[in-house]
Parts: sequence; structure tokens; C-alpha cells
Amino acid sequence: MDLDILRSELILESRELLAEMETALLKMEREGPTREHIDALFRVAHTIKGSVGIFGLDHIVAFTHAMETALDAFRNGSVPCTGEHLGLFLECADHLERLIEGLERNTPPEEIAHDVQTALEARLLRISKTSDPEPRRGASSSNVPAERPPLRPEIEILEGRAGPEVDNQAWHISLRPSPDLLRHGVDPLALISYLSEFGKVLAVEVVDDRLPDLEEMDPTEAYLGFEIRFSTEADRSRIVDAFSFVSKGSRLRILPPRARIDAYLELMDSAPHSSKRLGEILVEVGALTEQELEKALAMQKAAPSPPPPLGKILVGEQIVPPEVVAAALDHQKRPPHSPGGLRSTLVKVDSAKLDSLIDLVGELVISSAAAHLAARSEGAKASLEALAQMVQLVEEIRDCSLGLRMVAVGEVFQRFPRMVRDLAKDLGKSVRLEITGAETELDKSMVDRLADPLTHIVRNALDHALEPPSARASQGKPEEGTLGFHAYHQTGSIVIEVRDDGAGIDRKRVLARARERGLVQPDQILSDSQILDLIFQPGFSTANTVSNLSGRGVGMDVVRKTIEGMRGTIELESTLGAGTTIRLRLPLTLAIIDGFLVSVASRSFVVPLDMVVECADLDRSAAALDGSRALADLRGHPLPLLDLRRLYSLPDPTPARRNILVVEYGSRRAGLVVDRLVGEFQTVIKALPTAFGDPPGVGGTTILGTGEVALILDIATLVQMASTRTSSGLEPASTGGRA
Amino acid sequence: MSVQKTILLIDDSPTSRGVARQVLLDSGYRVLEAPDGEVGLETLRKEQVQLVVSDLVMPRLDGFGLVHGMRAIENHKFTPVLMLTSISRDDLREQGLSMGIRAWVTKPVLPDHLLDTVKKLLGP
Repeated sequence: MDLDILRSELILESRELLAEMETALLKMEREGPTREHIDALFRVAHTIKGSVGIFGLDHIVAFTHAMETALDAFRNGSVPCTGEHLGLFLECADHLERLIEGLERNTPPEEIAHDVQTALEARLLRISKTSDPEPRRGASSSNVPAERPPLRPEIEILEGRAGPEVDNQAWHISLRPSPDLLRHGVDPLALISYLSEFGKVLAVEVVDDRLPDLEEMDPTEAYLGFEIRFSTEADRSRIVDAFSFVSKGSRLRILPPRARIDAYLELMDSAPHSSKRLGEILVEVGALTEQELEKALAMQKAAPSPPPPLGKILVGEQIVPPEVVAAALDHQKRPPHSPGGLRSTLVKVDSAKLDSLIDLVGELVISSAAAHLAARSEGAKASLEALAQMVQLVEEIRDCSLGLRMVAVGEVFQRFPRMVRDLAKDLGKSVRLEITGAETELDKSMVDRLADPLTHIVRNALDHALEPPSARASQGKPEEGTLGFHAYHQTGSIVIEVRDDGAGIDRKRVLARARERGLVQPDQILSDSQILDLIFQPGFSTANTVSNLSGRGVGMDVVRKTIEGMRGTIELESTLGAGTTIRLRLPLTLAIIDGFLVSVASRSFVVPLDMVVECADLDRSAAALDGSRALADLRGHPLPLLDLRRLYSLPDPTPARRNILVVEYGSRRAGLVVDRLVGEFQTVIKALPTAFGDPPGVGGTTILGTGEVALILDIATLVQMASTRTSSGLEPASTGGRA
Repeated sequence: MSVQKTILLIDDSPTSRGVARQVLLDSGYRVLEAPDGEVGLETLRKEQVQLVVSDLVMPRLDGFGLVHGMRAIENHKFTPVLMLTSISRDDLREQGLSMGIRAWVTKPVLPDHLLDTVKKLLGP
């Protein structure tokens, strides 16, 4: 068996379970411990223990066992679970995380905070020690069945004492199943064939004396008995063990090799009405010879009364004291619970496989577009119709396969409850965490990349933005600060907002700091948004004291870079004294877009369709094209224009008629001046080959159905370019805004 | 045995399931899997299964709940159940017995022990 593959599975699984444990613990801290949560914790410890045991990871087994035992004390109600305990279990979860990490890195167990583990185990032991060893609460006598059925079948080993030894080297097994045997899910055939696992079944004879007439027969009832001759090197306990699932009410008699003849006699006597027949069967299976049978029958006659059960060894019933425990009963009575969160049945797939699927789907999309183009240019009506359906299906396949990469953003949020709790505690602040839209889905690769930037934003909020309770009270704010995570969809993007009701950003301080750092010239006048933008400049930090939590001035610029690397943007809104909102806007997916195809000087460009607002003619008289920038008058609103011909230095001649493609990003619009509007087009984003350098406003490339390479325009950058060029060059800042 | 027997493996831990799956597949059984009792019951409603190997402690629906539910399914009134658990307590076993759970295997699952027990119930 390949334990290496399972090992990485184990690490993944344990991490998921630990996240579950943490969620439960934090909920318990807020809402108080409930049975359901304690059960969830127990289950986590229990499952991890079971899994690590497979690998012989004794140090983790020992630790999870200690956790499990302590949790069991809560479960059976002998120890109340308090807030102090929750803290301990959070520490335990941390230590488990360390152990799992050690596993991943192959660190020897004794090097993983051994003293911490010893201390934690001691604290856990204290909980279970205070546990009441008396019968657990809730086990009322009415729950205990008056007469407990025996656990084991009646098993006798008959060796016999009188008469000569029977001359054979095999065991004889006589089985008379209880009528319930089949209903208990035990298959006698399976039992008998199991014997051949450790010996040889020499003969089997079926005893059918209890078989009723066909009309009276119940197919779920076991009527047949078996006489089995069995040769094995194994000892009797192994044979007895083979029948351990035979239900109570069954009768199993085992005669060892060379048993004395009266053992067989007793066997026959136990079924008086069929003893003659049984004798014959014993001869048939070869347990006895004819002569031996005769000897036995003669002995039977000689004895006046039924012979005493000599040499009989009762293997019998190991009666366990009748004790029905509250925990177990509770288990049975409680309806199946569904702990918080959505039910999901998951299939784990290597993400590389998904990527290659999506690559292929991308190629499929392109080739179906090519087929469509070809059919259209040939005017092949029948093909066009057939293709229309195929294109539809391809679109569905595309959506489905992209959906495979989508995960709930809650996966990133999961880490924050614990982080916020710990940070708030360290900083002496009181913070309530609010999460909405955790189920909003986005591309898995984005989720992974979001973790670090969000962590940084959270640290900033706790460290700098949210005030200590006393300061908040003096401002008339609730002592408990609020930090909110809100995720939602908005026009082809996913928005993640991190909102706090803290101090807000003090523009004066920001500006002063920026001047101090030489980021802004002393006489330079900046708009409000430009001041806020300074926070994203490399080497900027506003905290007066640099704490060890955040803010060495390397934060927000890195955050912005990461977000922009995903074709996303970051916005900041802040009101002094009332709080700050940081808004991350991300594309729905990284792989495929619905695009709008335009061309300039026979070059094709693709604009993401969800950013296209409208198309318009470029009325030469209305627009004064100056260099590559200009303003158009769109129904009375100024629209900054960007001429792609100029921007990318494409060859003239400029055609007489040109078009404007109005695009929008966030709340800003711009018009792209192009030669020709081609139409909607679905495409796969490919990274820009490095040979292209890094042309401004290009987000990637794609291959058209014709085989031509098209550039995918990065609208966020272009809109930014259009409005800043306009605002700095031609018009006052006010016209650079909303069209 | 010429007819391939089907075993339904129910465990919320993919690791434990992985080990059990491997052992059972290697011995020529057909193996179906479910991550918890509820999904297990869904499978049992659709499939012919000769043996259920289930974990006791699971989310949503635990092993006892599963057995309780499967006894209500016509085809699985008498299907044998082998319970895997790391809780070895006689009271649990006794409770299981009253529900027709005859076999228990203690976790961590030792492949040989599991296989031996399965063979007792299904035949080799």
C-alpha cells in the first residue's frame, strides 16, 4: 500500500479538521458551549487520532487521545466546559497544527515543542481526572433492558473422557445456527469458507432436519445445520474466533482431533430425535469410522441414563455488566445534526488536472469559434445551424469547467475569526467580526493569493484603525469595534470589502508623513483621492509606533501589487473618526472571458465584455483629438478618450469613420477610439509572451479562430490612463470623473 | 467466491478510508465510498451492498444513525455492518449489538485485522 500518497491526504485532512475545530471553539466563545460544538471538537480529535494511528505517529496519537479524553468528560457532563477550557483547546489546536506541520516537513517529533505538548497534556489530564468516574448522568434504569441477551453463541469444546480416542487428525465442528442467523447478516457459507483461510475444510454435511415444507418456509430464517470436518494447524481459539459473529441462540460444538468417543456420543445425544441420522453423517464426513460409531452406540446403550456431560468445556458467554451509558443512548436518540455550514460532498482533484481541463476547454472554445467563423464566411446555412447548438454546448462546458475552479471566498475568511480574537486580545481591544457573503465564489487560485493581502489589511485595521475601548467610549462609539468582511458580485467582478468603524484615515497626518518621506513635494497640492493613494506608496507608514503586528511600511504597496497581479483593483474610502473601507475588486475568473473584439489598423484587440458600456460613432467635430488623449461629449457628459492607434503606435492611414467603445471600470468611464467594432467574442486568456515586453494597458493575449493573435486590453489601466491624462493635461480634475 | 462482493465504506476521514479501500480492493472486493452516514444511506438506497464498513463517529449522521436508517431500507434489513472505531467501550458494543452490529474493528485500522473480519462476514 502506498502510504506516501495517503500521508499527504492525512495532512490535508487534518488541516481541514483543525479549521473546523477552530470555528467551533470561536463560536463557543461567543455563544457558550453547546453539546453540538463539544461533539464537533470530539469528532475532530477522534478522527485525527484514528488517522495518525494508521501511520504509527504515536506522539500525535497520544496528544489527540488526551484531547479526546478531556472532551469526553465534557460530553458525559461530568465536567462543565468553561471559557478557560476553550482557551486551552485553542492552544491545543495550535499545537496540533504544529505537529501536522512537522509531519509535512518530516521534523522529528521530539523537536516539535515537546515541552508545550507535555504541559498541554498535563492540563488536559487534569480535566479528565476531575471527571466523575461514577455512572454517567442520564443513564436511568428504564433505559436498561430488563434481560440482556447473551453476546456470544453457545460454544462448547467437547474432548470427551471415556472410551477410546477416535483415530483422526481433524477437528469436527458442529454448527446449529439460531433461526435469526441470516437476519443478523451472517452468511453461514461465508463462515465455512472463511475456515479455509487457516486450514482445509475436508468435508461438509448439511443437516436439514429442521427444514419445513416449502409453504411454511421463511426465506429469512436459518434452518440448516452443518457438520464440518476441518484440518488445521491453528489452535482452538482461532476456530472459536472464526465463529465470533454467529449470533446468540446458535449452538457451536467443536471436537478436537483425537477426542474420545464419548464426545461424539454427547454430540449425538444433544439431538435425540435425529441422533441416528447424525451418527451416519459423522461417518459420512469421515469423523468416525463405522466401527467407531458402533462402539459409541454400544456405550450409549450400556449407560442407564444419559451420560453426564464429561470433559465438556464451556467457552461460553463473557457477560459484560449491563450498563447502558448516557452518551451512547444520547447518540441514538438525537436526530442527525447538521453543524453550521453547508453540506458538501467533495471530490478532491489535483488542481493541475483542472488546469489542463480548462486549457483544453479554452482550445475548444477557440476552435468552435473558428468553425463558426468559417461556416459564416462560406454561408453554409446547415452547418451554421448545427454549429449554433454546438457553440451553446461548448459555452455550457466552459461554464461548468470554470465552476470547478470556483471556491467560496469563505475559505479565506476562515482564518480571520481566530486571528482577530488573538490580535484583539494582545492589543487590549474589543472587536466583533462580521462576515457576509462567505459563499461568494471565486477562482481557487485567487483565493489562495488573497490570503496574504487580506491578512495584512486585517492586521492594519486592528493595529491602527480600531481604537481601544476607552478611546471609543470617549468618542461616543460602542466600546466594541466592528470589523466586517463582505463579499459580493458586482458587474462582472467580485468585490471583497473590509470595513472597520475605527478612527479613519487622517489626511493631514498622511500628507505630513508623505512630505517627511519625500513622497510629495512640499508645495504640491493633492486631491483627496491622491492623498489616500499615498498609503499604497512603497515605504509609507502612518503608525507613530511601529508595532510588531503590522506596519513596517512594506504593507499596502505589496497588497496593491498582489491584487493588481490578479487583474484586480483596490479602493480605499475613509471618513475621519468613522472608519475605513478597503474594497478589493477582482475578476470573476482568470482563465476565460467574454470579450468584445475591435480592430485598429487590422490589429485585433479584445475588451472584456462586462466592461463595455456602449458603442458610439466618433464624431470628428465633437472630439478634439490631441495626441492620444481627448474628451468627447457623450450626451452632454464629458468622456475621456484614448486613441489606441496612437497609444500603440499603429500605422496610418486613419479611416474616415471611426468608433468609440465606451468602457467602465469601477465608477470611471473612458472611450477607446478604434477603427472597427467586430462584435462579441469568447476567448481564453493567455499570458503575454515575455518577448512582447510590457506594453501599457495589455492584460494578456489570445488566439482568434483565424489563428491571429489578439491583445486583451486591461481596462482598469486604460481607464486610469485616460482620466489622469485628461485631468493633468486638458481639463480640470472635475471632468475626469463620471460620464 | 466467483461473485464479486460489494462493500460500502463510510468514513469521514479520507485517510482511514484510503487505507481500508486499498486493503479491500487488493482482496478483490468492489468498494463504494461515502464520507458520512447520510451519503451512506443514499448509496444504500440505490445499491446492492453485501457489507457496510462504517466509522462510528462522523459528522451529520454517525454510525448508529446509519444502521438505524439502513434497517428501514428493504434491501438492507439484514445487511451486516462492521463498525470501525477508536472508542473501545463495551457499552457501545452492546448498544451496537442490539442494532445488529456484530463486528467491531478498533482504529487505527490494521489492514490484516480488517481484512480478516471482513472475510469472516463475507467469506474470502
